[in-house]
Amino acid sequence: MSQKVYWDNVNNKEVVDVSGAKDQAALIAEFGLDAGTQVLEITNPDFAHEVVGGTLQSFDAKQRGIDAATARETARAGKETAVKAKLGLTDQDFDDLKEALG
Amino acid sequence: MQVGDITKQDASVQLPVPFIGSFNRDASLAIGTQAVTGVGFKPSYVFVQANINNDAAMSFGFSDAVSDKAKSDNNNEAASDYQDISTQCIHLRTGSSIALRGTIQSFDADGFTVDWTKQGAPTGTVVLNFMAFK
Repeated sequence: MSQKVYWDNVNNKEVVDVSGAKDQAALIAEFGLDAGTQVLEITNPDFAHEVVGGTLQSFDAKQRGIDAATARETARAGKETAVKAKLGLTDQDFDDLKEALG
Repeated sequence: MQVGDITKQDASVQLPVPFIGSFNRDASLAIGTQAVTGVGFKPSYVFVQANINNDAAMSFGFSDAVSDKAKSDNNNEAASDYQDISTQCIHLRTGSSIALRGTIQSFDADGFTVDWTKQGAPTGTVVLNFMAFK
């Protein structure tokens, strides 16, 4: 199900039409939104919205989450490799060290 | 008929069906209001689950637009700690002295309005699931 997001940058008001079916002009009048209100329709449930530099935009929130998790894992693995190299540890040594430290 | 009204046995099917939906909020936005419309009726109660993507912050809360209550995961400030929140139905703590808070400001003809306040400068995408009762 799609939904529409209305962002009134002038009055700092946000309206989310979770039905995605309401008349745009009527909604702007109902909530007293500025004539320059930005409107965004989101049809993909994996997508979310954000305001960047005053502009309403959608993005793939699921993919952003995957990318963030990948970056965290890459950073963690890099630190692990650096510690092993610095201390001259094998993988087994490192696992034993982790277990010993709890 | 509203939830809580006395009904005859087996007549519960006549109770109005709650509306279940979701929306999101950019946590970095300035304090302000966010109206949720398209629910199909004027709610009397709302239950809200909220979290911030890629963050430990999470809360569960409910409101009748007069009283708001929530349980908030305080992991970002203290591990294995949950806070009892008595004045908001949304409370997301993303760090020490950094939080995003929401209360139900009003129930409207076709939905409800969230009043957002902040402590510090939270960031991220807030994902909210809600159930609205007539």
